[in-house]
Amino acid sequence: MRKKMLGIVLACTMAVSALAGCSTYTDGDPVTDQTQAADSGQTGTQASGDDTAEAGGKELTIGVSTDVTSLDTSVINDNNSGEVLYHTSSGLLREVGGKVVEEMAESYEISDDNLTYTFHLRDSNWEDGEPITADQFVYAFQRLFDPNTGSTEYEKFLSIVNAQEIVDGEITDLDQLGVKAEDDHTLVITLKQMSPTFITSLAASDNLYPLRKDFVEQCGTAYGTSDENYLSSGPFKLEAWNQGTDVIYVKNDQYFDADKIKMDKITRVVIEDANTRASMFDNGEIDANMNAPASLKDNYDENTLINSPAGTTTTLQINMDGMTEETGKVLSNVNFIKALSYAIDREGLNTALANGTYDIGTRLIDPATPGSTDETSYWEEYPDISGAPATADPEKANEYLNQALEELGMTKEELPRMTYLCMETGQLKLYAEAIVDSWKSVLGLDCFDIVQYPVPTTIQNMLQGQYDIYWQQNGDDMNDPYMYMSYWVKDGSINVTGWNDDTYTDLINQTELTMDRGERLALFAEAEQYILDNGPQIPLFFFTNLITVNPEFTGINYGSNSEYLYADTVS
Amino acid sequence: MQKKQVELDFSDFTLLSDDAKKREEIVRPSTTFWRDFARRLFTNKAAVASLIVVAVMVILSIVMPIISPYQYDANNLMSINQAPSAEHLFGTDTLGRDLWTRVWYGGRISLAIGFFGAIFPALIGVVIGGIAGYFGGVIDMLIMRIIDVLMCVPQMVFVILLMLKFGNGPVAIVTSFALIGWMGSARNVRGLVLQMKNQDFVNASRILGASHLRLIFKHLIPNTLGIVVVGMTMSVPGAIFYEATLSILGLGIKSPLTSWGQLLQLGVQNFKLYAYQLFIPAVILSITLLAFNILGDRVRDALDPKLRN
Amino acid sequence: MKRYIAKRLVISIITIWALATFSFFLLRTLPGNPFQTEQLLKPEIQEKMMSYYGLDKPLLEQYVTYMGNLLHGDMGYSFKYTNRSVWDIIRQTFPISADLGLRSLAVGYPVGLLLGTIAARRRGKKADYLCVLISVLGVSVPNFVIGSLLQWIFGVKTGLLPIAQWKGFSYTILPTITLSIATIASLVRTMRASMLEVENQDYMKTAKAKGLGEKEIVWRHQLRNAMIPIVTGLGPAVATTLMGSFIVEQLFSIPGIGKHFTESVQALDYTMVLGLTIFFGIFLVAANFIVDILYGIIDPRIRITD
Repeated sequence: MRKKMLGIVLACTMAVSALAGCSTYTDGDPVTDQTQAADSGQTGTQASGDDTAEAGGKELTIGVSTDVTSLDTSVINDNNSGEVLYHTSSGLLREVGGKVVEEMAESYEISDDNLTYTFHLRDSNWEDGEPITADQFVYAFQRLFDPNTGSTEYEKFLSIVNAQEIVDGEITDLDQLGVKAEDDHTLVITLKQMSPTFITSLAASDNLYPLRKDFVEQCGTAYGTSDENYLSSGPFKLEAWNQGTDVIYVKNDQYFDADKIKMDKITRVVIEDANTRASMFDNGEIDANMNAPASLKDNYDENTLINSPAGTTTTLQINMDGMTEETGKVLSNVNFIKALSYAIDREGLNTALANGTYDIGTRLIDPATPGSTDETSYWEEYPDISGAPATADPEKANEYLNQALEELGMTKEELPRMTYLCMETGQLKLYAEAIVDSWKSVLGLDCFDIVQYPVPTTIQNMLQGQYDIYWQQNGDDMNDPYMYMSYWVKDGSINVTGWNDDTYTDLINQTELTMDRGERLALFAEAEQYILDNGPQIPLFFFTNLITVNPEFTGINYGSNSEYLYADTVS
Repeated sequence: MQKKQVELDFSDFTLLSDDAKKREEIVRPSTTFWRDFARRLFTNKAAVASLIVVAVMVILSIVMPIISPYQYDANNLMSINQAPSAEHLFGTDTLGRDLWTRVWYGGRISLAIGFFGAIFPALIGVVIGGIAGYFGGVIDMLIMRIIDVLMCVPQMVFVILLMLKFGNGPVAIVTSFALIGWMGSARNVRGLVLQMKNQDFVNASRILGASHLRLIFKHLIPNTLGIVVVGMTMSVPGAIFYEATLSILGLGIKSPLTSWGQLLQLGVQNFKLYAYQLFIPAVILSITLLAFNILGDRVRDALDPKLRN
Repeated sequence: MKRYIAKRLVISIITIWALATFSFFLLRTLPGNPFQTEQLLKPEIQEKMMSYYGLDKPLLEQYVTYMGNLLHGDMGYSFKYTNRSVWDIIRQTFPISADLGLRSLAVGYPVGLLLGTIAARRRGKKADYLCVLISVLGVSVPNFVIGSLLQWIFGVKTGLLPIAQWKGFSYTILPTITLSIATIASLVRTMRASMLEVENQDYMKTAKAKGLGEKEIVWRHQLRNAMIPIVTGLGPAVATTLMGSFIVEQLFSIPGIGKHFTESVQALDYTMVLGLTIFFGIFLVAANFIVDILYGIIDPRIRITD
């Protein structure tokens, strides 16, 4: 009797839970209907009906690999969150396709001493109809530097008056920051020293979108943690953030440039598995795959593929101090470093592991870097800079090796074992195995140990000098070489390579002393060749991002991040 | 009732003939526990087949990487992603490495993890279970409570955390298994020892002055080996499977070593284009696990006294 | 019975405490911190963040604070998902994983028990071998291979079922099947063995001798007694299903709790890892606890002897 009861109870529980499961579905539409109804009431949208699909609106579905982590502009530090903020906020300036474009700042002037920037704001409103004003930018800047916010992203803007002092806690009155609103439409920023990259950094930043003090304070610590704790000011409204599943954008009619925005609804779907995402694109379930696997490139024709630089400089970083004294002796020999560099078949690796999509790195500064004029790129202006061959050069490599061995007074067998450190993510393991194998087959050196750890542990080890060779994958600033090149100055805080060179440091410091791009690029070119000849970085690749787009859509790009605000259908 | 006195007389009985005597003989020849086990195991077709498969896998894993003309880690960027052919029996992978050699090299690691990942927990479990069962009382209670606590720990979570600490080599994986996998055999052994410790053969030894240690290790534990062997055979596939799961999650064996799990993980990434890179290791893995599972089932059946017939 | 429950409860609490403590110290002794991501952060800024979050205080002090907060139900905030509380994230994602898990158990148990029963009743015949084969294949072929195959056959090639996400009933079919295979496999085995064991009991012979039909024998006598080991296996089965869901969720892009675990471990998101470990622990402890109680109800011998 008891057992029978038990059996029935169990069966019922299972049945109930199976039915209750219906409510865990992640279909975002019910939310959409509600919010849209509310919005139509408030903003008096022209479009009728709750469902844009019914009204014949244009819809786009894009597939990405990673979800947003936060919507709080002051603290975000990843591309995915930045992407969503980019499409739903209006900053002072905007970066489109790598070019700086005026956004909220209709125009701006720079004083003669290059220390004062005056921005004149145009008229635009938040999604709830309130106007966007200069003091909202002041608040955003202050919040970025406020130690109580806990942001890590203020570095590029430390040239602003009192910014460093506020960050260090020496000044507690935030109003002392060199960002002031003269009136609702005029914003004045004062720098304590000239910053040639200020405008481009401002345009590229996702951390300085305007903030509504009343709203942010009302949300408290919950600001940016959900779609309810966020206010849109940009081309699209953030309709819904179904965490782990998708983000839904709806056209924002309050946006000053609303005419240029063609899509009525965009859904950003998170599909982690690359194969699944690719299959969904092939099925038509998503219209664009924003992180398409390079291996499948050949399945698509040119109309569907977009391969853009991803702003990542990949090198092998040599620890010239070595993990031990012995290895340090070997690694401080520049000929040895060159031998390692010339033995690597960059093109072969690019074909094998990236299906030929990456840009070969024979130099250090990103190929997307614009030149001193609008028509040329940096590479075009300085084509001769080179530090490594595109394919392996076994003859030269062995020449360098023999010279190094002679200088060190060692034979191949006497070389100490060296540690090749890299992170556990993605293809890095394959690259490590391939590179170590090429040193074995071209140079006859079998003294390398590959060591892998999770990302934080690896970086910790690198920062503490616990490596001999490190796979260094740096995001760089595609507009300007300063960010990347300044990492390697003498005593740079992430320069744990044992290479502290005065000549190089001087050159880099000089680039901050003039606003003339031509002059600066010349200095960078000199520095680049110098570090390639003498320094600890073996250039390898510049990563790219492959996008597959259904040819029925246009306007989907990858500048320094995914851009689809001007997306449109072809018909 | 009245008892009746029966008077027996020799003449009331007749001697049996030899024929009749034979009928009363014990039908089975006498045998030892292990000989019986071996007989029952090796006459079973499925068991023998599985044993052969396992042996083949082990031999190929040991021998192939040695005699193969290709090194498991030798890249050849000219011949990447080639389908199986005469030159490369299993084809090549993304770096042009010979998959045949890699599969067997990976087999070494996977099988080693399987074996040691099954043996060490079993050994630990046997010792602990034996001690718990034999001494009983407070020691037993303590050990059983510890087991109860550990059984509530989410295994995979535990292994992942341990591996973060100890690194990712095969040694770390086996150690992790050993630390969290001993409970099953400990419980079984304890149960058996509890039953056995008051039996006559133990008492006899005790009277003769055998020490605790001798009793546990020479008398009790050997008699539990049956169930321990079953446990081990059943947990080998589990260990190999576990390693594969960890690899898929990105937490398995690290370079330069490789294992079947790693090969699967690499294969999954390319499986839309080069399906063989996934299916070949998957099939090899599955056949091996299949063999171990069937073998485990047969071993258990062979040891089960109720199934003697 | 009360003593039994009380004892189980005390052990459960000790387990959770031990798990939390062990994980806390293990995590904090690992090199690295949550602020070291691929966007290389300068050491000065890292230090600022460490002190902002109070991570530079003495370890013991942090431990006491954490445990104190835990008793109030506060698991802290995730480092990766800035300002989102760990409990919120768990609360949002766990129901989905639980849903998937329950569905797979709801499929796995009936199918597994049925096949196991058939295998036992038709022992030695074709049906037996077939069921055992299915079972053994289930534990031999890794579930992501099965999952990928199913995706490919039903999603890509024939377009019958959706490949990924969790938006409606049709989305649940493939993941549920994939996840239930492990359950089915082990159930077939256990059930078969258990049924065979029961078969040798005297009361079975009696039933047969009485002339009872097959159905009656199985239903009234064999099944009930064979279920005992099945019930005790419920705890571990729930655990295995939960763990198996890590991979299935990743493959089918289901926003469950599994992906957060691997993600937070790899990013050293302390609060998230700890929160999840403790949560899984509590879940498992609760599951085992309930199973123990059930076992006590079903089998009176346990209550008396333990």
